[in-house]
Amino acid sequence: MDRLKILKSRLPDWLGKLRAQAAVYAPVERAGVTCFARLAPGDEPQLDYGNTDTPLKEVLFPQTECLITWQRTPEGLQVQEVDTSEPTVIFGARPCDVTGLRFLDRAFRLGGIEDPYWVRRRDKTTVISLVCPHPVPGCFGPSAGVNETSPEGADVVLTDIGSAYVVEVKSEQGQAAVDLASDAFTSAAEEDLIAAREAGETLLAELAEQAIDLEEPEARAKAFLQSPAWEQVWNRCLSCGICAFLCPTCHCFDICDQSCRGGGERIRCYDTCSSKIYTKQAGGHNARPTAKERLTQRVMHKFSYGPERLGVLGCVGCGRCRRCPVDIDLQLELSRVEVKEPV
Amino acid sequence: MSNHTDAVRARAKQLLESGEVTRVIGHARGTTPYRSRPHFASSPEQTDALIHDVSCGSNLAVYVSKPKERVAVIAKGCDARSLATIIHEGQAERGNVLILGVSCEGKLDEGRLLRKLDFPPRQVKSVREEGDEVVVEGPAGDVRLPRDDVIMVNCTYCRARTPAVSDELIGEPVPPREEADQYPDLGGLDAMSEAGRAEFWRAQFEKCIRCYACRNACPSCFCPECFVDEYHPQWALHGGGQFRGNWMWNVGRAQHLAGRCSACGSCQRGCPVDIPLMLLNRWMERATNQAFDHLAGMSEQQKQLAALFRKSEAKASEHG
Amino acid sequence: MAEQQVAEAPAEQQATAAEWRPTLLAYLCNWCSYAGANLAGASRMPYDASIRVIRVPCSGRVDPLMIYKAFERGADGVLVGGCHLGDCHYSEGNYACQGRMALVKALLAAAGIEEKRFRLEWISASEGSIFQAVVNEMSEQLRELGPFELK
Repeated sequence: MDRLKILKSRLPDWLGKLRAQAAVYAPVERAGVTCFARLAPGDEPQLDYGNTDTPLKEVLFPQTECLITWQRTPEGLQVQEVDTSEPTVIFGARPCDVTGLRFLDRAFRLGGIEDPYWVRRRDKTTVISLVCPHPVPGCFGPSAGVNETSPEGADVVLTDIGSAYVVEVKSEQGQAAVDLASDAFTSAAEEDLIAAREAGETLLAELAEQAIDLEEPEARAKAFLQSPAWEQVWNRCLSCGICAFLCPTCHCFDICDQSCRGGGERIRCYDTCSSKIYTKQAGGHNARPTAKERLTQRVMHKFSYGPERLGVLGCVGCGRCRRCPVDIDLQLELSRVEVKEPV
Repeated sequence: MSNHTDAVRARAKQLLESGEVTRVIGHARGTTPYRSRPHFASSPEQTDALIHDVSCGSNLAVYVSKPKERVAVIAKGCDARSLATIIHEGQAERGNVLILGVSCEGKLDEGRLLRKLDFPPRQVKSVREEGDEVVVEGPAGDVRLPRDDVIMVNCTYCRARTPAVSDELIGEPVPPREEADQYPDLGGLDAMSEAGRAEFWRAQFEKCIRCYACRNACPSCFCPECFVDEYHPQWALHGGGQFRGNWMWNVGRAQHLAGRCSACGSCQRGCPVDIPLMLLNRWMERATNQAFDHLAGMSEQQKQLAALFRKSEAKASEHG
Repeated sequence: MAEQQVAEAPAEQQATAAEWRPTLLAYLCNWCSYAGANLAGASRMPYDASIRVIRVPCSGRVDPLMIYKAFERGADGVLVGGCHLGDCHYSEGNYACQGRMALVKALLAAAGIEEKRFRLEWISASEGSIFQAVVNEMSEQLRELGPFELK
């Protein structure tokens, strides 16, 4: 496909056209935190960001979403399904977050059983990715198999070359998004393509400094759980939900009914395997009573069950879980483990 | 100067060798030079990893939960306040906790520190304290930063730089900061109107993702079942990203910590979306300090705040 | 004429709708304040219909969360009523309440909720008129403040 480019000064035109057709989600700052939020008319996306503090997944898999509502009326119980999905454009997502969608796409369609709430949003979504201008501290995307310059799952990829972005269209959906404002784009000249390629090469070279070894993840996970480091790790785990809620691929949820005055709603919200009550049964038995069992689940799901069942690693190297208050860095721990050759 | 690594290691080793304690809870070097991590030493060899420097901020009292055998905790003033509080509240036998106090002049706030540097965090080679400065060794040599600019904000008004409750003390005693009783940190909230405060907290609480790191990092949050995890009654709507439930959670948490918070700042340090939780905690500390002359964990004989609500207590509320 | 009457009716309804009535949630202790409310009723003392009473065994039973939850669920104001100090049926329950409510007041102030939306009152079983006065005064204050909502 012919490569295009768009001047930064023309970006608002394109965003305006997109917004006329769809809900546009882009990185914005809210009370000191960068996250993906719906752009209102006149809102400028914040594109010179490192990475959002909260992951992209919350656009398609909200922290809390209402599934149905009900109301008791003289005529009987009125139940209403809630569907807030709408044509959506995600603008400016980092390659790691985009790659995270791939994991979720597979998880939410595992075994041919579709999660309707994910699928109905996902099917109406176009993803426009923005390559990182500089490595985000803590990022090890390439080590986790992320294509940092042309991520899988993106419909359009933008690479910053100073005054403009070089545009790679990767799908029909992406083409449609570009066609909405075709006059804003021009053909990319040879030097633009060279600039984009150089930007990508510089990025990858700098990222190499932050690389870690995650080859053979299953063997690593198992070896780690036998290693002396493991005991220190689970002993200090606080069982909070930071790593899961900030992870672009974690997708566990809880569903509960909240009723009041003859009406109510059924919501689903994030849940996490590190929570004490995650495996608590009616009657009080807890299959994973301590952080040891809970964290084992996390390690295994990310690095063993994920690759085994979905064919991809449950980690995209974004480094957000390094916000851990007690400095648990599973990836780093795994990379340091000595993997024994199978006998 | 608060690098007590050698002293901490030596004493921890002694304690484990003599069998006085079965475990020493301290800090070890984390993934970066400006990070520490909780470390548990159960054998003399494991004490080699112990450190105690300006990066050792997290409150270790959170790991003391009804120990059956004697454990030692490397305790800064705030850890010691927490320990005194939870011991008083029946979470540990006093005889089972050896409080190894260390004097402290404030611990690093990673965010504040990194914002002061003009090079990527991975290029930080080491961090140390010299006088009133924190010295960061970077790619182009040392960068000297005033300590008060890079430590946790709550450390700049600490009233327990020398632990008020401890069995031994490592390091020279340091006097409390004068700012502690003046609450300069609350000036911003004080100056706001009621509507302004409501608006301020709305913006903050809307961010909350309900990961409960604030709760789990807090030594005083030891309930086996937290009020937000109850379904009947359901105190707070479940799930992050929605204001009403988030409001209920954050307000309820602040209420439950009133008169029990040691001002260690672990909740705020843990928060992945930077909600200034210490403002609420300090607000409640001022209220309990003024109305009931009560500060959590500042002595072993101290009564719990709730005990002061009784008729038999001389200084009852004038705010009722 | 008939048409005019029809046309007037909706205007009248509109006027009633515009006269917003606050929701004042009251936790009243069984032994004093609830009996005081009872006396006010039995003596035909009119008081504002904005009040919704929840009877509790003692003001000392009022968990601060019950107050926050009331606000979260849309109450415009909360009243806690107990026995006068020294008169508690359980001897010290109202002292516990007094201390706890001091904390609630501080926290509500921090959260930016107007002071007048929350009140702690000691009302004895014989003080029907005080109950009436408190409810009327507080309802009036809530009307001035307008609806409280955590959206």
